[in-house]
Amino acid sequence: MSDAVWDADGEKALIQRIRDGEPELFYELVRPHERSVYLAALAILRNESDAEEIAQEAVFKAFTHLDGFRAESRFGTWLIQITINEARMRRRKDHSDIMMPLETRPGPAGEETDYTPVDFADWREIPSETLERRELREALARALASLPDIYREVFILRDVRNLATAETSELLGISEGAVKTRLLRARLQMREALAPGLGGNWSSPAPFGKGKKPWS
Amino acid sequence: MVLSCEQVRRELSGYVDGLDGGLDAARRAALESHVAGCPRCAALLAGMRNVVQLARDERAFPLPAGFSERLRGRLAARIQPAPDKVQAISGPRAEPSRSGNPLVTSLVWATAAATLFAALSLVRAQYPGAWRPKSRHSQPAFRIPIAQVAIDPEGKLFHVPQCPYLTRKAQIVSCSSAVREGYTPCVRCEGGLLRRKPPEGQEEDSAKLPKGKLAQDRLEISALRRE
Repeated sequence: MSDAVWDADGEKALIQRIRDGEPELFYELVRPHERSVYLAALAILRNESDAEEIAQEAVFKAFTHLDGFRAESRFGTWLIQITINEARMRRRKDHSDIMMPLETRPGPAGEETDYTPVDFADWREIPSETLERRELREALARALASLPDIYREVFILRDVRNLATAETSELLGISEGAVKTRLLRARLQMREALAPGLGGNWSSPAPFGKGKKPWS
Repeated sequence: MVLSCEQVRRELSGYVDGLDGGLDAARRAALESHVAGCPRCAALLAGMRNVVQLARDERAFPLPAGFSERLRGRLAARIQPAPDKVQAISGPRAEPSRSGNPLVTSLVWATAAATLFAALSLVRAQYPGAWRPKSRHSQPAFRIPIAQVAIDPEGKLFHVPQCPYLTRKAQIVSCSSAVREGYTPCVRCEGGLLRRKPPEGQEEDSAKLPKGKLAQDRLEISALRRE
């Protein structure tokens, strides 16, 4: 993984101790990868509570199969791969592939057809403190959930997790070219989902005034 | 090199990625000169940069509230310590009785019991098995709607996401997980989930609800609390 610090020896020692009869240390091994695991599950599953459930399943699966882990790879990469496999199994079980609207399915020419933006709302500046706003985070989550599966997978691994193109292609089992075209499409669609609302709306004050109750 | 809008849009992603994007200098320059004269492509480029910048920010897609605690709790529940570790916790066996000194034996057993007790209470503190609300001064919800609610991770209440009394950073979680974490309903926006005191001489408010639904909700809550 592209985590800034990777303590290879520490990881190895920790795994050894867990195998030697200190299983309660497993959480320590997983802790640095919590977010990656959750995001990998979210990449495949879209729904937050499903993603959390699968993330837990994947972590537990990693624990029961720790003997199968080979020291030459990184624990983080291995754990993410398990998570992606688990999440895909869940997705297949839920038939959500079948539920996908026709036009979003990658057709034979699906990845090569040109994308025509329908909205050119200008969105020049986004001060990073707007991220403190709940509305922006909600809009981001909505935009992410609106992406078709194949774009969301790539977008989360490449842009949210900041993984390299090669690593993303390996994890998802698709070519690097496919990662690039899907990423372009995903970014354009994210922009389209967010830009109209960000042409000033996010900096506006609370959506309801004094005396107006959101629950009535 | 002159690029059409279509060609530019195909390269935007690589351009935003900078040196890793795989665009050579000539292509970058051509793209820049196109964007300088094309407001639409310029808007797309600016927007795409914002998307990438936002996505990389850790705050943009936070872990659900309580994620780590739940993961840790589940792991602890499912991972059994190895048998020799259990023995180590409960103290030395067999050997002390061979010493033959009843005082030493009882002393060793007392120490073992104390160690075990300490270990157990430590575990208890880390993974509280018993559900308890975060605030002693509030009432727990008496029914749990299937809905997303907003919580302040440092607070004690859960709210309708637009509640004006929710002032600090909020996280959106499902109502059932909020209740499991010990959050209680905000009196102002989620007051409907609180059991109201019935006026004198009247039947309890909840009696008006269909019996089956209420009973089911209660079951759900007690199941959640046991968890």
